[in-house]
Amino acid sequence: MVFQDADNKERSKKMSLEKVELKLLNPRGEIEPPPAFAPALRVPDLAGKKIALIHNLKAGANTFLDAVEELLRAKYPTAEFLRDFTTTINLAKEPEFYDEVANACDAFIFGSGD
Amino acid sequence: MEFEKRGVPGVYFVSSNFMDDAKSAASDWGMPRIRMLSVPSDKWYTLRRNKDEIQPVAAESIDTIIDALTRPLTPEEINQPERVEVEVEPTDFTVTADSYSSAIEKFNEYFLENHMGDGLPLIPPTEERVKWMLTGTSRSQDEVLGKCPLKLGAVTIEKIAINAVMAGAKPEYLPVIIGAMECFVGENEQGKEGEFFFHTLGSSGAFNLVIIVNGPIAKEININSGMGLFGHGWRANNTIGRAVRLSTINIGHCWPRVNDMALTGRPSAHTWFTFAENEEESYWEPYHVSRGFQKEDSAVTVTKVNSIYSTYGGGAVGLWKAESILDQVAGRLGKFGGSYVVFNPEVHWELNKLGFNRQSVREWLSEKTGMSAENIQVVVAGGVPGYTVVWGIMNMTAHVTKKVYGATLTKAGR
Repeated sequence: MVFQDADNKERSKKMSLEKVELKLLNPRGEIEPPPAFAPALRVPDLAGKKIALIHNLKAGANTFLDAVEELLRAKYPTAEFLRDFTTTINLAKEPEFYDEVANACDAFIFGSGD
Repeated sequence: MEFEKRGVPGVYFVSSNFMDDAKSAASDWGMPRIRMLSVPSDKWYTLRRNKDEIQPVAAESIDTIIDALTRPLTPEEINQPERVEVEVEPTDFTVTADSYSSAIEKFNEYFLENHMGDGLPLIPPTEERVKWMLTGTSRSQDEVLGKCPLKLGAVTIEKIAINAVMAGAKPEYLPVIIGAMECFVGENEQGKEGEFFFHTLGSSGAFNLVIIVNGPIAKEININSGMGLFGHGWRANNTIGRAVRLSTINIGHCWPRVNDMALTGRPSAHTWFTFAENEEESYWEPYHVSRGFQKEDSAVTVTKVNSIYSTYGGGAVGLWKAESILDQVAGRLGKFGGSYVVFNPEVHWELNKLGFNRQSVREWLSEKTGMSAENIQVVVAGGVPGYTVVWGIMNMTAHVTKKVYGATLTKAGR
């Protein structure tokens, strides 16, 4: 990769008389591209569905979910809302937790209080 | 994402100021097309106190939430490549200019603009300079140590050497820098690679790192363990810490407002808190011996701490008793999950006279605070007079000691 100030005309003029070239090694670590996943297929309608409302224990997220639940209940009276699931602050949980949630609900709304 | 991978559709809400971080994380963990809801930050932080206040924000968001859960996926969302697209890193960059000083300026501008610096001037990592740096270790430059958070970049001896050059370090420091970087890799208790310091480097809190060096190499390369130990003026302290900092930025791909979300930045942002234990002034076994190493070994320990420290004791002006220092330290620790205590030599001497050793101090503090002794780290450092320094620690998940080895330019650490 060659870096030059293409936008700077004065510098570009000087480039023709350039005398110094520094070859610099890249300090960045190579990243192995992770496997890519598509999101899950959507549900056609929320009526009658079990919807998990999940947060990361940080302030405010649960309050927002309270308000969201109230609005969704008004719109989808037959929907069921699951509120007992929480992650940890840094979101890390054992795989069994994700299995349990996935088996219990049809859709989820998740957020952090950050 | 784990729910989505299990076939359950969802929507992730995040405040707008954290959206770049959320997108970065979604890509890092393999689902760049996950559906997200941006909640306006200017309302979120002032209205989320209770449901009634946040209700209008929820009302504005509800159609987006329903749409995210029910609107069929687009072909772009469904058809994902086998792996997330990641920018291929060039092996090198070429800067050309009409003078050396101009080239240095262009290099510094370019590196900073591309998130490869720390805001202070950098030494150009030329092949020649990196080769010189590598004379400090017998380890192969191609050796892969593991992966560094936040984006799990591959940590190699060569990449560490490049960052050490940029930091202004000397080759004889390299084995210590390598040892410190080894603390960042490996699997945590959950088996996740490079996770020990993930939270430290990315959290919105101002978490910080303490890097302490023990054993004979500390004196040999002149790491300050006495007066002014956290300050400027000691090339080993300052550039070892800076090399680790630059390595986390560049090898780990950490950048503020992108994936390092420290709201106030991190105190000692350029060098961390890097020092040596003052073993000469200590009656206790060196800290690394308490961590399972031999006294003649050299070792480096990296520990996550909270943002800033508190000081206790009289310093050069006040009067104190060791018992009162202990009481004050215990009082400070009560609200944390762990702690890091640096006793200055004269307080340590008095504690020693009272019959305390490193372990019994930890146990005493544990008894007073209810905190596990395992989560209380105690070292001796600073000058005479000095202050006892205490960091709280939210938890002790990031606390790793590694032996320093492979040195070629020092008697120790070989």
